[in-house]
Amino acid sequence: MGSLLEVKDLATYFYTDEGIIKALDGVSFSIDEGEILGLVGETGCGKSVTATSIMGLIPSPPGRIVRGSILFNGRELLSLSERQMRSIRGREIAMIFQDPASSLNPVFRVGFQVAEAIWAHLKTPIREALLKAAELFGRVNIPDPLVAISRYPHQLSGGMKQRVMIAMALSLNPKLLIADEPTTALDVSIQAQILSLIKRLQRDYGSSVLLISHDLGVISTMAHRVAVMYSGLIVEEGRAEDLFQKPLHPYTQGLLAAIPRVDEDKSELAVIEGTIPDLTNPPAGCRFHPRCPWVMKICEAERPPLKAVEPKHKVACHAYAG
Amino acid sequence: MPTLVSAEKVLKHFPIGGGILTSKPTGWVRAVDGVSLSVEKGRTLGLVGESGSGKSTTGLLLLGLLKPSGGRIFFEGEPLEELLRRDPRRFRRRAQIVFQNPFASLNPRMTVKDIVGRGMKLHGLVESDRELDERVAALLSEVGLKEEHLNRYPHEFSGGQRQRIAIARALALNPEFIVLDEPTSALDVSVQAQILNLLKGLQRLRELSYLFISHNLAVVRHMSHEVAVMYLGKVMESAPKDSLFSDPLHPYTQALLKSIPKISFPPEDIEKKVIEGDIPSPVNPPSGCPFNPRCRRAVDICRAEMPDFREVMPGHWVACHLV
Repeated sequence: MGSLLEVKDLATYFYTDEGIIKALDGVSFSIDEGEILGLVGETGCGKSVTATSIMGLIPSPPGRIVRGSILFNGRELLSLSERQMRSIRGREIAMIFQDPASSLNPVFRVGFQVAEAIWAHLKTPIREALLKAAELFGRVNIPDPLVAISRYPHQLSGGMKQRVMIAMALSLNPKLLIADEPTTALDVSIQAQILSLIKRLQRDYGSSVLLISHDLGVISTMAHRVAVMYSGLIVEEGRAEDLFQKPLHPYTQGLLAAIPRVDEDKSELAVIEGTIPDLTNPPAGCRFHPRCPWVMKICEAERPPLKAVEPKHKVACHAYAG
Repeated sequence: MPTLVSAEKVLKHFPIGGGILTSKPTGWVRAVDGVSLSVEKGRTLGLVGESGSGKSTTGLLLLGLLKPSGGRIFFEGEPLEELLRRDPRRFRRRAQIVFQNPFASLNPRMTVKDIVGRGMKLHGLVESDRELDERVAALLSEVGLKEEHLNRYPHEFSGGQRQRIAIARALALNPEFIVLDEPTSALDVSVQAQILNLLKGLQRLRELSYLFISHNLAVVRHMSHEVAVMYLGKVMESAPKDSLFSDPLHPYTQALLKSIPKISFPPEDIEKKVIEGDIPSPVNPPSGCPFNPRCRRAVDICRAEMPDFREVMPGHWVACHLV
């Protein structure tokens, strides 16, 4: 299977009064057709900026994509006009966000909001589009779809609102779905429902998914391949089974040791000392070096490239050089 | 193990409606609906549940910050009501709280010294400003901050550091009991581990008793000695940690444990682990067992009668007709 999306050396900076925030500073990855790529990392590592950069939704000013390329289905997204981008956004690449309550317009009925998206792209008559919305509601397991389309967002629970967002995202059969922390605002039992829905739809529609989450359990359950981000860079990337069974980067290892597990007892949690670096003035060399238990001289000076050290398993760490 | 805090069939019902002109409420939110639990001395009771299950309300009730609509709460064998009537300030010294969001729970216009030291000042525990400085500095070092942080403001700190300040504030009056209400839910995983380790260390050193409230079962497993699972204002199951996690008896606990995405190989089939349906509203809870509309094993009696909360094995309590 070929790649649907290829991101190369993407750098997105924000020019603020406090300085230049290098939110992304050379991110490369690809997503194959029908693949779920999990993107994990902590607050401020650049997961969401990656998503908004792909969607062409970086607020400018202060943000700007300063270099790199985003190839989608063979087309360079960074060279498209806003008009051309608008026909891709929603139709070929759709996105769902963390907080469904703030993604829906509170003063319009949810069915209308989905129908409007269909109408905007396909010029389907609104009546027909509403029927299509009801059909989609059925597919995302919203009970009584014909009644549900005339509800307002506040009349629906968080889980139901996220289903509406998924219905909207799928309404035009996009090739790529970007899901940015889609279940973080939801309860555990509802989270399982939404994840299973995303998985089923991905299989049925054959879409590719970029799944962004800070929850390693969610990523392990969902993703085929995983990329770990730290401070605006990808530090490790590999197949889910390789990455979780044999994490290579000290940051990935630290992260896995730091989370309490529901299926095992850990007497003491391992701690990654220190805090996430300031993106206006990131450490030189490897950005993880001030917190790294393996730090060497070279780590303070040179940024390690992301390269394969095992088949299909890449890591950006000097410890694996040579 | 002697009990420090206990609740017996505690209720908290909040009125809905009842404005300026109509004083009669139009309904009741049954936030806490007959909760019995106990926190042992020097140990942690983990309270888990999904949103709206009444965890936080239970925490506030145990601290006497909300007045129960029914039932009784005891603190070291004495009725809480009695303690609060006799000497409310003295009770405040014994029971404290740490909230979820350290961005909202610290006054942005107060320095760390004022935030942490205010309680000691108000309770007359320090004689001079110098003593206050020393005591606050000692607390800061106990929670992993430095003396030089004394005169800084909350906005100068990261989320994890702010939570450390909130913990220092809770410790300032030398309490016996602390309610930790989702203390790490707003933090990143690597910072969460630091705070959880700190809380465990403090418990050992100071022999603190915790009520640890969280929606995250993995965190609760790590922190607790005993665990109580709440759903819609009721405790469905409570047991020592090991027996709750290795041998959950209530269908809700079982389903909840199953539905958490885990790191595993081969990956789990999430589609097989789903609890169907939405969490019902506590304004209009289902009759009988509150979990019955979502329970795969529900039978007629589950829809008609709320099951008793019974001890089915030593220390293992469950409210289910089928157990």
